[in-house]
Amino acid sequence: MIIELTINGQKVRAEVTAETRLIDLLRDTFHLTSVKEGCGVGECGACTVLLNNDPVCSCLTSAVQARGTDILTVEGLERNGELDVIQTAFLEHEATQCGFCTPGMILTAKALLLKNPRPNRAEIKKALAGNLCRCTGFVPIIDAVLAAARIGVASAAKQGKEARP
Amino acid sequence: MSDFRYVGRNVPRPDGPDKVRGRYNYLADEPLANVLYGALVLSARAHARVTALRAEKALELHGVIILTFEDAPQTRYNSGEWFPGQDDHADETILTGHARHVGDRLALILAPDEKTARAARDLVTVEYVDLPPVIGFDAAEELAKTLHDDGQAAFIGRLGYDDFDQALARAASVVTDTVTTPKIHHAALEPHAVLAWPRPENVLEIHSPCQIMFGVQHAVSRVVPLPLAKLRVIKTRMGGTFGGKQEVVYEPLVAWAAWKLGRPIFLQTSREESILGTRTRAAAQGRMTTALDNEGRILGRRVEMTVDAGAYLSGSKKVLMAMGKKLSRLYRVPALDYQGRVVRTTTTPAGACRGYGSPQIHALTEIHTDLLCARLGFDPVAFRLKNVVEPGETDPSGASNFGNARIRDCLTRGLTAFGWERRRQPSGSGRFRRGAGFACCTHGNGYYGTIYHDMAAMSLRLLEDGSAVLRAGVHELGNAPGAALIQIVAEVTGIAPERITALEGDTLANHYDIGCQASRGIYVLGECARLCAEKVLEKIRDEAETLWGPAVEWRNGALELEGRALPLGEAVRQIERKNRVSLEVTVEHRPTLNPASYGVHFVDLTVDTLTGLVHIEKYLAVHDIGQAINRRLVEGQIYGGVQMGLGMALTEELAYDDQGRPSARNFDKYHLVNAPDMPEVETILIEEGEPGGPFGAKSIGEIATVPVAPAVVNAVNRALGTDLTALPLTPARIVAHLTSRPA
Amino acid sequence: MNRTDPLTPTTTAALLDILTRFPGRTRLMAGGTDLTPRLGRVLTPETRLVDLSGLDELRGIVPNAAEIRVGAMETMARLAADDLLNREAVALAQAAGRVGSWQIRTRATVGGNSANASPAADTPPALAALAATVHLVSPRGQRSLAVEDFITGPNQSALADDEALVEFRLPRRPGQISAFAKVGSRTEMSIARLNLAVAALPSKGKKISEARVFLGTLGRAARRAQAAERVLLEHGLSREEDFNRALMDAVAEAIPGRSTLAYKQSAIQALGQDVLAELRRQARPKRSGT
Repeated sequence: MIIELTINGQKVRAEVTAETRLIDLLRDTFHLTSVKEGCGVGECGACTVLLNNDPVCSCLTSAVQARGTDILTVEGLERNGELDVIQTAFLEHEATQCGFCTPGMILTAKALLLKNPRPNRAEIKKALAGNLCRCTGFVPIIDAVLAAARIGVASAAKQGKEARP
Repeated sequence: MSDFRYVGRNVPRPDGPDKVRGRYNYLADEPLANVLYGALVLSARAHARVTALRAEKALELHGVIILTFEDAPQTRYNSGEWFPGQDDHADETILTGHARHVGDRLALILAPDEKTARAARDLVTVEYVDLPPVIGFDAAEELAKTLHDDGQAAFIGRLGYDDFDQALARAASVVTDTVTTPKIHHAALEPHAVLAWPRPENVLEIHSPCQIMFGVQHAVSRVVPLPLAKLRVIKTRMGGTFGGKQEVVYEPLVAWAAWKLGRPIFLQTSREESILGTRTRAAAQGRMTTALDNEGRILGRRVEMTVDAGAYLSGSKKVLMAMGKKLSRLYRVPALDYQGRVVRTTTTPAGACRGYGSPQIHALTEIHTDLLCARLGFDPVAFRLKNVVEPGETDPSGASNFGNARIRDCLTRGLTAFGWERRRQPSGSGRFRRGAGFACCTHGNGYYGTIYHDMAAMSLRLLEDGSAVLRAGVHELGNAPGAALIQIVAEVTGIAPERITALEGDTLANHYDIGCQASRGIYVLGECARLCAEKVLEKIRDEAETLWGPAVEWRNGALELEGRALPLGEAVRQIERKNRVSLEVTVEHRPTLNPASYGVHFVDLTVDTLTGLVHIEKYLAVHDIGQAINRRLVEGQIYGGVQMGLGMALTEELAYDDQGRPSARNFDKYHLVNAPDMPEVETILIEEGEPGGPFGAKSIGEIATVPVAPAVVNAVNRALGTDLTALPLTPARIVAHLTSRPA
Repeated sequence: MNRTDPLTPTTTAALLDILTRFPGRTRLMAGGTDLTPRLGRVLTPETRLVDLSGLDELRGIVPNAAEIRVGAMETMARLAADDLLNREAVALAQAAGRVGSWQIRTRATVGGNSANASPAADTPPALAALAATVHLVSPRGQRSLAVEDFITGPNQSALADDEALVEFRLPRRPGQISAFAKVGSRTEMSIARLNLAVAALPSKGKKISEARVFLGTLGRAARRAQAAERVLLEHGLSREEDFNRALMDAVAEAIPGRSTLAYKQSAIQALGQDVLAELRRQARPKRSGT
């Protein structure tokens, strides 16, 4: 069947079958190869994308259930060529090593900061429980998310001030 | 030490921006047109002969081809060999009709797309006649003949020096412990993948996220009758390895199929196939006997070590020997008797895994050391300080001098920073018990002083705009060795890191190199890069002198000529044009030392005696690293090493039932330590410089995971007053021990 | 229409029509977290995938005077965050919050969790402790069952081939306290090795007038522990040792001779302790203003 959905801000149509997973749709049809398959059963989080701003494992999400939703992958995170504050923080904290878990990790962190702009370390750890990383021991990743939150809150406050008359 | 421009600084890794954008494509992300996709028919039985493999239904699907063990050459190879002439015992074939573990390769299905290949694979039915499973460290004694026609029950390896029995006779006390360590899945997040592609002029390209490109070339040459010069192995971008992609697994099979069919073939595994069908960390069982004088000085040690190689010998014999070689490099052991054996079982083959036996042997050494101290009433700190080696000592086994061995510094600085005296007393009497522990370790820096040749070759060329290309066979695994080499070249030449490219492995384009193994990256390759950079500066000075006279000086990335700076690019352009000289140099570096790196990890933890769950409260890692080239990258290695070691200590184990059925096939049952259970990790780097290393640097990537498991076990034993020695300390093991213990 | 096209009803009437037209040949998908990776294997040319995600009638956490209605398609994430459940059905909110990872809680549904009837499921013991009933529809009509009767065994439920699970109803009990605890091999993102849910109604003088205690992962998803209930009814929340002893006996009765018995008998004491502590916290008189 044909479904319509929004991927990275663009309305698209695609043919899917009962068996099509969201990850297949994103990788094979739309060539969004930042979405990685590390386990295929929702245990590693490498295939995490945001569906209506919530993190989901695209390997556990049937494509047909994504109809009418808004999907965000890492390819859609940059705005006008500028990296998201989380991406910048990942760079500054050297939070990537092999890089395979990175897109999924960044998106879960993005969802967290959308819901909770000032998470503490424990909240970040809990949010990232479904994203496995074998390289970094999570330490620089958690540092990066904390830093991104600080920057995000600071810039929101600054914008708020500037907006006021 | 602090006048460096780049060394020791957190220069950003060059691949970071692509990785955070999701643009760093791995092999599966860049499909080739007209490629055939592979799917593996893997054995569902632990040990069986295949009597029929029916593929009629599979072949009805569009474009499906099947290659079975009956089609495949039965040339035997050893997946752990990395150079021609190594002559390790060969017992593996690319496909087999004698399945020796769940996940053994029976056939390869090929189809125009991956979905069809996998659907076809699922339609293949296999009939088996079961053979007795061979499970455990001793089963092979009786069953070896059923497993391999060489009939060998064990592969024996011994090393030692002096007379342990004499030490035993003189000893005031003798203590023995047995420690077992689990079979472990490497769990690189990127599963295994390989592309083989027949190219013009009879060249076969093999694209593989590998650690030893020339090892892949060699392995493929065992089954594909092409000259090495026609086998082009290209190391692709890689989503982690930890040794799991060091030995060849699917490269010879896929290369052979591509060569046979004249078609490009791509194969990638699922997680289940990666867990069951590739390589693992070898399970090991070691029995250590220490003879001591009455002051707590070690007089001698005997170790009886059994390594479970799994279904094929693979690199396990080398792992066994690597274990033994660590025994004389941490403590002074005047007499050593190491008796090792490797057995084969009907389980997923073992192979290289971060530390190459070092985590296993240090689990034995360090858990045993704590237990012997407890039994004999020695202070575990004082005992170690009395016995550790010192800088410049020679290895009584005849291997390389230890170099600037700073184990004492690691220990003493760590004890203070960690607050050992405060934390050493266990506390808590009810459900939650708290305890602290630590463990020491050593690891190497290459192969010098062993039976294997260690050498590195690379070229550095200065380009016409003053940028530079380092033609080094880098194998980037995630640990950023290329970034480190660039930083070293930048330090010497003054060329900014972002203007230097370091090439990854390509066997037809790059110099010979024995790959990313043996913790040789920084000490051997790094020094080679430094020598290259020195040599290219020498060359440009010499050439400049012929053009502009002896007044030329090299300063801050430019030539200085009578007070005037001549930009590097300008100099290169003029030298090329006027002297007809390219500013490229090649250095072949042969290290003359294989110093030891050291580390001590400290952990404070709480055990829930009812659930058996362990919570890490505080963690400190201290490492003798010589000199950090990039502090943040070094710390990254330590954090990841701790995560992997915690898994070995507490959660990770590939277990098998008595029928050889694996307990875990995916991450739902095979649990890595995830973010909520990962402690913050404090680090201290001891930077006292290592002669022979670039700017004094030595290894970190492997050693970072080595002392973790014994540190944790020692802390648990101190918290509970137990003498647990079977890893991992799963909740069930801890509780079983507590409930069986007389109250 | 392609034979493999999924069916996407948007009303219960349309769903019933599908169940009528394809008797025994449908595969219902709620959140899809269990089914999606297996679709290639479980769908045959004869079966039709029915996606329930378009059925808004199956959503909502809606109270009336007597009951809270929880739509079968409500996700674990919604349950865990829901204010009403966090006040009146704490065990369910806690259980939902301990399912898998955030990614899984975003998709996994409370209906799917019971319908799959995995022995290690987290919400069924909580629902059972809260005396929830499950409501089913089929072309033959509708029926309701207690959750503990709906789940009949490991991966087995009373759901017939032509039936769909539409909602749970939780009786509202003013003053009810409840708690859920589980133990896996990790703090988060772990299949339960053992879980426990308790709901109780405190009365005057630190007494408990009603209690329901359910254990999970002992062969099936929700197993009642009546002896443990009696300890609460007789002694309130104070007798931890007796309560735990009763739980240990319940474990031993459920899985006699099993290799995991010794571990579970130990771990259940931790869960008993944690659940009682949480119940005592809830039973403490609230400070004014909160």
